[in-house]
Amino acid sequence: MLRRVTAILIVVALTGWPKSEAAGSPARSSETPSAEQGAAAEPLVIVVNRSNPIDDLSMAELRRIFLGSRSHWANGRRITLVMRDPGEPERKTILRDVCGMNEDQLKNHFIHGLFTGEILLSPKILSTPAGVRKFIFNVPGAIGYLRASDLDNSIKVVRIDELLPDDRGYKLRVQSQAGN
Amino acid sequence: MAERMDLSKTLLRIRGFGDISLHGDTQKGDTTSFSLGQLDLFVTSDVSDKFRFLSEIVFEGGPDNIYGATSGQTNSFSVDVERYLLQYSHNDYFNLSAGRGHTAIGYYNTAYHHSTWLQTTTGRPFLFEFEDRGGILPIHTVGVTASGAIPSGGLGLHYVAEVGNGRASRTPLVEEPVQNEIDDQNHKAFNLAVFARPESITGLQTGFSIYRDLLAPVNTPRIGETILAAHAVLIRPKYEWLNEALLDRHAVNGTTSVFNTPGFYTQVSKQFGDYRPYLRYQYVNVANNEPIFSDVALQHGPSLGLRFDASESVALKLQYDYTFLRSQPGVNALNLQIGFTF
Amino acid sequence: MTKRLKFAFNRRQPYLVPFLDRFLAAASRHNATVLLFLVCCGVTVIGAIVISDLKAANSEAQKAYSGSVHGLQQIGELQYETQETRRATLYALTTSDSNLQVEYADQSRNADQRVKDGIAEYGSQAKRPEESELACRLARDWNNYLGVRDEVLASILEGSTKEAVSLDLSGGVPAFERVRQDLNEVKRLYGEDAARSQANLVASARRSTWRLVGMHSFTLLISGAAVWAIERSRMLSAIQLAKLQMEFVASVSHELRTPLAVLSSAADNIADGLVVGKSALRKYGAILQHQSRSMGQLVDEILLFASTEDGTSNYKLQPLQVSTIIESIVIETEGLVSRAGFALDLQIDPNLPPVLVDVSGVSQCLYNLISNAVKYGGDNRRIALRAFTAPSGQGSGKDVRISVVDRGIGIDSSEIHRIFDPFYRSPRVNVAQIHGTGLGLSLAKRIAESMGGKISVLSELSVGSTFTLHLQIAKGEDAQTAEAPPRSAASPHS
Repeated sequence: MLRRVTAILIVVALTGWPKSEAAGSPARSSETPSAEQGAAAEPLVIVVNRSNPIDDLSMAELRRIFLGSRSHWANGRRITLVMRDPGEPERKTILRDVCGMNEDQLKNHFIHGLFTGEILLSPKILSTPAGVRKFIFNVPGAIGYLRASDLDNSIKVVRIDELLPDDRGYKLRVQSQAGN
Repeated sequence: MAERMDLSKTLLRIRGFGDISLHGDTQKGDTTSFSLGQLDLFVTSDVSDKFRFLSEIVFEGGPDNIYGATSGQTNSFSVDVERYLLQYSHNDYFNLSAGRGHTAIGYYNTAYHHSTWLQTTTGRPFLFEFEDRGGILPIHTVGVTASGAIPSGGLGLHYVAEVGNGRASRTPLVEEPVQNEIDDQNHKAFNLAVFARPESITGLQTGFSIYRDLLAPVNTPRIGETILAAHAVLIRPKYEWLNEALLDRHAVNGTTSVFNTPGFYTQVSKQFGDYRPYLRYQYVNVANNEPIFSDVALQHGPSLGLRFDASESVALKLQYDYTFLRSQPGVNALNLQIGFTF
Repeated sequence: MTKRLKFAFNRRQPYLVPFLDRFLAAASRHNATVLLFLVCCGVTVIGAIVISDLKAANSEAQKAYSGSVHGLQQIGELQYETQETRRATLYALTTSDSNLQVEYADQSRNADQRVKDGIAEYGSQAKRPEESELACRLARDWNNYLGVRDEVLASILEGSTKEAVSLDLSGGVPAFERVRQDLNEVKRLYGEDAARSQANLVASARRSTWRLVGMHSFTLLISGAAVWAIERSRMLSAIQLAKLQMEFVASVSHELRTPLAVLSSAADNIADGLVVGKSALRKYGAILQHQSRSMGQLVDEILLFASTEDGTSNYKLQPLQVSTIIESIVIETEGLVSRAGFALDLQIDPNLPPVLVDVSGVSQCLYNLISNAVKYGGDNRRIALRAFTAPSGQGSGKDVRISVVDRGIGIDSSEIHRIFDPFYRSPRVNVAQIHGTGLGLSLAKRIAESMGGKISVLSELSVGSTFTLHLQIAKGEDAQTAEAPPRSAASPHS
């Protein structure tokens, strides 16, 4: 009896095989991707301090950085991750398109990582684009993200998969009508 | 005079984990009881840009069960410093930690520590049970560990190399199995692990580890211990599939006697909103004449459970276990657990 | 003053006072107003110097004050902003909220930019080499501190608080101490500058005071001397006038007494019956007639002079031919000239244009000149009467000139500027007992000026004198109506 029940459960579990899950799976069911894609979108730019020698990152590298799997730049400087407040469209874009997680999953991931010692620092949370700019300007190892319209000359833009925000095929886009 | 910074400022961060269970089983002598699980204080401090301190201080109740030998009082609490590490992070390729930590055997031991809230199931698999809970592996080590990434492009190779005191090997064991202060012999335990996290498959990690130690039980020849472990896990936000297998080989010095203890588990779970049902099957087979942990024998069976995240910090789990035992009737067990973090 | 100096001063005084009197007498002729004007000019110049000095002192004081105030303000701001830079950095440690930390970092950077601007301003205003050197040192030390501050901020923001603390202790505090010492040095240099300015100000004030006292004393001295000079000049003028008037009275008295004595003697003779016969009576009658006419002419001359005293002119100008004037005056002076044994030579240019004159005025004028030529003609008894045209000296115009030339005693050059003064008679003519009222030339000058002309004189002692009457040429319609003057009724008194 018990074996039958176990077998049924295994089948049920296997039928729920992640056929719909790929890298960067969508977040909770409460979010409506179709609604987001329908609105006008502007590029979400990955930015670093001007002294950072990095000019280009692959999406996989970017994911590793934003999930805390990578802790240092090639020049030995520690990576400091800068994120916006939960709920901000820019943060949602990063969670969806780079991390492939929702807020709870990201939080659990960082708790787990800090707990195991794999992740050294939690991300810093800044409330405004100006705050993000100023933070990255002051911290040589910082990396964050901004809408293209929030950029200024104090920080440096990083290419993603050798694409600049204005290039065709640039993957990171955030709704231009922010739910801020 | 220029203003100076307050030296008394510290940046200790303490995160706590705990659980409370209601469990019952059909094993003779056991009762249905409420149990306080481990109260785990996870303490970290950023000592400097490169150095970090990490510790896990656990308050746990109940007697210790070490290789079948029970010690300590039932219902009383004791304190264990389960992890005590000073970490040095030079770059992604070289990190060093010294102190007491979890041995990098397999996946589960380094992915999950003393918090049940972080695990999907109510408890650890047999294979990775703690030494003082009847576990057969050297879960903890006291020594030095080097780890880091291996430049390998998209393959994402990593390494772990550690040397430590190993575990105490006296049997019957009446002392702490983890040799926190004094090694009972000059021989050290070595462990080498390599694992890959390929970028092409998100969430996949496969790895292999080899552990070597020399045990010196009382009145028996020394036993060389070799633990070979392999794992392949797929962890995604809504889905996980863990698979690990190991072979614990004990070779008695001066004889041709070799005792191989195989073990494996497989665990699968999927997230449905706040609910995560899971299924685990685990197996360990210790020979009856195994010189070190003969009390384990054959244990295998499924575990079926459901985890409900009542909030972002509290999880409720209901798990049913059936364990087959050698030459004994199987044991049914039901466990209701509240795990939380604070 | 010592006795010797007093003695020397007193010895010099007899020479000094007459010299001063001569000078003042000379000055008084040009009116005391001129002297007063000179004094006023002197006072004005002195006042201008004093005002300029006061202005300079005031400006120096203002400069010193504003320099001090500005300097203090600059130091205060620098000190405040350096402290603010550091304070904002330390505030970032008090919070773990990244947003607040970033705000504090921003405040620190804004404050450090203000410090950099302040240091640059101090450097640009540096006057001495040590100030420039200090500015460079301060900039260097500040940049060193900012290097540490940036690292501290980065550590704080990264969350490495202990790292930030140890960085600040090992590098930030010593660097900031150096900056603080540099600022103290700036303050010290400012203090030195202020002290120096104050000393300069005190010295300048002292100098101004002495200068003011000196100027004031000098002004008082000059004013006193000017007042004394003016008073003395007035006194001298009054004395001279009194003297002249006395001389005039004496002369007039003598002129009047002489004919009166003749008249009295003739009358006595007649009354005593001494004059018998028609011829004797006729002779005595002629004498009475002549003397009474002389007295009448003298009185007329005095009255005429008095009438011109107020400067108003009663002359009616009309165009007249020069030849007519000459003919008339020759006839008028015929008796005078012949009685004195003189000969009158005429040298009249032909085609002279008519002149604009008053008939009686021009006659009186020329009569006085010829009368003087006879009186002072000396032994050479020839008088020349010339008429000609010459440039008037005003633009391109001409005037007609009638010159009376004598070969008489001449006039000393030192007296020539006084001969037209009323009542003036040269001491030489008094010594030579040549009688007169001293009014003839003065009257002739006034008449000439009333007609729009003038009288000029050239004279040399013992050689003779030439008196020239300058007359306006009648223009246009006036020239066409020129006519001969009527014959003058009375002969002027000699």
